[in-house]
Amino acid sequence: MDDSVQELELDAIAPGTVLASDLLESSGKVLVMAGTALTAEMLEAVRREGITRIRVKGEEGSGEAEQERCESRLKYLFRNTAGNGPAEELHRLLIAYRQGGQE
Amino acid sequence: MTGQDDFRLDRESLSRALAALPPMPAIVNELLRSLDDPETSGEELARKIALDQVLVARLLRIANSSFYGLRRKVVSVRDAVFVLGMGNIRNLALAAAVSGPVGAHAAASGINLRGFWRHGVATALCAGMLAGRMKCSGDGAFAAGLLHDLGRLVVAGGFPRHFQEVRRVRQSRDCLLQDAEVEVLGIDHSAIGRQLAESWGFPDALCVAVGGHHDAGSLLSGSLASVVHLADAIAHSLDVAGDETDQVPWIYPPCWNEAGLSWADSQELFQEVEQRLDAYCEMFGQH
Repeated sequence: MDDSVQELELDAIAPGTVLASDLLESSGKVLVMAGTALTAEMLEAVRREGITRIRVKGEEGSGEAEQERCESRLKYLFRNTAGNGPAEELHRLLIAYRQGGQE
Repeated sequence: MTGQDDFRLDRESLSRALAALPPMPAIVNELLRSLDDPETSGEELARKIALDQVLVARLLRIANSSFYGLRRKVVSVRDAVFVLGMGNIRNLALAAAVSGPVGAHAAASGINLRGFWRHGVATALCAGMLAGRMKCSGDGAFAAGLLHDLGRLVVAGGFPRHFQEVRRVRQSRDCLLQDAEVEVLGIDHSAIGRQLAESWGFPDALCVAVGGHHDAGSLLSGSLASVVHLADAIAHSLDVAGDETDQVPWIYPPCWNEAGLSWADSQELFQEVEQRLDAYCEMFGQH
């Protein structure tokens, strides 16, 4: 599918970013449609819905910082698996995946 | 240390909490039984589903949703079975039956239900994809993945104070949820989930998978429990629940070896789960 889609924390999203998937209210109604450029008001409404992460269309440019964030998040998720071989292997596979599948 | 002991959950109070939950609709058990019974025809199940009006309305709404992108309108259960496939019908019926009543029961505790179901659906998708490699039925694996943390809803709904205490201990120790549960409650969500699954009359393999997904003794080769164990760890590592303090649990090496994921397999698995997750959550009404 679209390679440039990424899922980000709501706090990391600036107004003007384009939404990649429909956002739904808890009732199931569409809150914001995919393809919309998010305004500050929309981001606030999304926050009020209790949504914390959303999928947006990302520019390729923001790579390095994003890569660093992904890796430190993975390190945090795997913080209590030291010495467990399979978890260490899974960690490595996910780092590769987050880097866009480079072996 | 009376403060500590206040939060112990004995069998009796657990049984009372389980008895207070709404009963499982009969059709759900029929659908689960049909997983083990190759004799059951789609025709026969369609006839049984047609007796449950709530389920019928839901299935037709989904079959006609944009997810399937059909031009012709689906108006009968038989058509819905054809469009959605038996596997999906079962999973939908399960998700609908559990998420409605049990979820509503737990909501007041402040549990993140959306995150709970996103993790459940991701685990189900992983389990469905791993099952073949681990010599297990795909449909059964999906259902077991979806329901593996059922016990967490029982604690949240039946014992909100205990739930808060577990959360506090888990955060202060930075340990796995099940370790905090054992310390505070004397029992963990998998054992509680198993009791619920048994009281609802779920098939044995499903009860064992719910009860044993963190227990090395249950993780036998080819078992549903071992598929769910690995799927759960992968779902945690994909970080789908929106839980800031989430962590990947320890993985039992024989399960990992049995799945035998190559580098390419793993990348495909991660991608499939991420691509299908939102659509499945939407389909199951759990955004």
